[in-house]
Amino acid sequence: MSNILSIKDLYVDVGDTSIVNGLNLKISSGETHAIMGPNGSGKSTLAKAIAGHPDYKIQSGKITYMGNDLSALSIEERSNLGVFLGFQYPIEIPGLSNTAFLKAAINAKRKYHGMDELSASEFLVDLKEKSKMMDIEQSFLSRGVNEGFSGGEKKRNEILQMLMLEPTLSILDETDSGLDIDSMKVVASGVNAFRSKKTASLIITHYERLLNYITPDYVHVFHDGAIIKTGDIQLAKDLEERGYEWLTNP
Amino acid sequence: MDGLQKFIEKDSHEFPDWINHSRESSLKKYKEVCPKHLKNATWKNTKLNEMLNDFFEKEFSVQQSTLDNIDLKSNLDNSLTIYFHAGVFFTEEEIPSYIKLLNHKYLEENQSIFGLEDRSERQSIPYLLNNIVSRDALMIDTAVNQHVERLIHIVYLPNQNGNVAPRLNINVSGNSSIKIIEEHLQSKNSIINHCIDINCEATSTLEYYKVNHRQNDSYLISNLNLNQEEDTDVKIFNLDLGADSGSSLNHLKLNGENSNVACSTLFMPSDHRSSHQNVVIDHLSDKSSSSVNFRGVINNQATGSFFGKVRVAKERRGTSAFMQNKNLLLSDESKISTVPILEIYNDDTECSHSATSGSLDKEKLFYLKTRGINENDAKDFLIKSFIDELTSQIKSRRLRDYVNEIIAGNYKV
Ligand SMILES: Nc1ncnc2c1ncn2[C@@H]1O[C@H](COP(=O)(O)OP(=O)(O)O)[C@@H](O)[C@H]1O
Ligand SMILES: [Mg+2]
Repeated sequence: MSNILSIKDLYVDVGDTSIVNGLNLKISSGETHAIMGPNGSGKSTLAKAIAGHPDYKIQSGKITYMGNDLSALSIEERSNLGVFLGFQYPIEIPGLSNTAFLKAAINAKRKYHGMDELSASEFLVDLKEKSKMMDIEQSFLSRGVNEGFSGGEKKRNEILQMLMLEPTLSILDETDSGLDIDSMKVVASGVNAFRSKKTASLIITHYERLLNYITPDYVHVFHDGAIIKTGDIQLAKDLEERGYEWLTNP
Repeated sequence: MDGLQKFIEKDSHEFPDWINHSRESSLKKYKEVCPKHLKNATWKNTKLNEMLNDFFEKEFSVQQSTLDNIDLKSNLDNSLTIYFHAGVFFTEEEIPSYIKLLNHKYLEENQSIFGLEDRSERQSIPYLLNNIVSRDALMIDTAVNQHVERLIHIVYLPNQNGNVAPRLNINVSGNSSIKIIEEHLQSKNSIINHCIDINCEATSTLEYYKVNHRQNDSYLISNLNLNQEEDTDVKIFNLDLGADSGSSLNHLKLNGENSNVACSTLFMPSDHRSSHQNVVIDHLSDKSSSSVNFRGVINNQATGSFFGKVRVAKERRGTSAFMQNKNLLLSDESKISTVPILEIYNDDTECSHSATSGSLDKEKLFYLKTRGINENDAKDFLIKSFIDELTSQIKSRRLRDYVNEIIAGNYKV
């Protein structure tokens, strides 16, 4: 087991407000971590800071990914090195087809690693198989990125992108929210297919529902921009029953 | 007084009397309408004044550059190509009966092309100036029931230090159809003032395309007047890459029941160029529909503007009008203004209009980058997707590819 992500004493500002306040977290290969916390506690802020969003500024502390100081890497380098962020609110890009987008993304990564472009046929075979797994119709792939997709389709499309890009660390920001039970199962099967000894996942969620399908190794409770308690799946179940109150106002 | 008079007298010996008369009455009208038209919203922010100064004061070479080093091969296979150079239309092919190249001799029989009549659009600055300069016209007049298979490609060859006024007259006869693409190649130091009259008779269809390549130190005015009778279907697509001062004026009249027009324009001026887009639609009959879709991509220090107006009179029934203008500003110094107006005086019109302008969306850029795509490629994708949304609606696949190819060669982030 090797170290994939290590966050030390992290503070992140949005505008003039400090949103992440002294966060510590270590994730090793093969592990699945869940972060649970109330709305507005800073979960998405953490995710975007790891991905490198320019509006989310690291004030102090350090994020290390596979030995690299992340703040020294551009957004696309982070991605090319294997960091994937599944968006809480996936972005629509009309006019750019899902297929063209995925192809560009895959080839950008291959180029970064000095590899040749993926052949069109290999790409299409892979895409067909994975989109089937994510229950995304072929006809959707020629549409604009997330254009006219329902909430559930957008989330499944995020997982499809993850499967296509084969990252090392996958951060999924509330991929489960707004999903019906069938979509949730599809998403969970995608995430489970991704899990391996070499990869790691950080699953941000609001409810414990998803964790019935993806069993995490660790569950962290997030509050006011920091982890206030860590446990296992039982902690998630307790939260579901008792809410966050008993932890935040003991 | 009177540079204008001199301008006409200078080469009057070249023309027959009737043309000189026509030029004089146009000049007279011009003097009358110019001061009040200059204040018109149409010309706001444009360099019309400068152009008018150049027009009457500057010496343009009458003898234009020769054709020797110009490749007269159309890059659209199987099209019928007609060229315009040094003020005259010509072609190397046999001319079919529905096309007439009207030089002085034939023009006399068709003087009404230049007639001022009582039509207000004929009394606009571009038309009057066109009357003064024009010495030739191209007329396309399909036969009833004729479906012209061949694409008509009209190519305006490069001008150097020229003042030219192409005149085009199109009549799409009853139950006939035709596809036309006009293309203005790059000129330098020139004034190009292009007037196009189109009439579509009942149950005819027309696809009309225009490509204005980048113009250097030049003024390009394009003036389109369209009239549609009942059950007609017209699709217009313009690509404008900007001129020192570029203006496109489109006046579209829906004059018969079930007449439909879709008018789309992509304007993308760069450097110090400008592109001013003006479209006015008059719904003069019931059950007519219009769709206006203009997109601007403004780069460097360039300026763009959109002025769109749809008018539906009170007594009209069952009309629909859609108008959209979206603009992308690619630099901090680029400028855009947009004015969409719906003048609809009844409640039996289905209508919508919207206008948005902004720079590349930061969240979209972030999304693309998180998928490993670098800054330049991400920007490219967003610009391209913005453009594709419009060009993907071009009906003819071949012309869609043609237009996309021209666009691809003309922008970089
Ligand atoms: N781009 C932003 N601009 C301003 N405030 C923001 C922005 N992003 C997040 N915030 C603020 O930061 C806090 C945490 O938000 P967020 O990280 O989205 O929480 P969570 O994902 O846990 O619901 C909230 O108070 C939110 O309003
Ligand atoms: Mg969130």
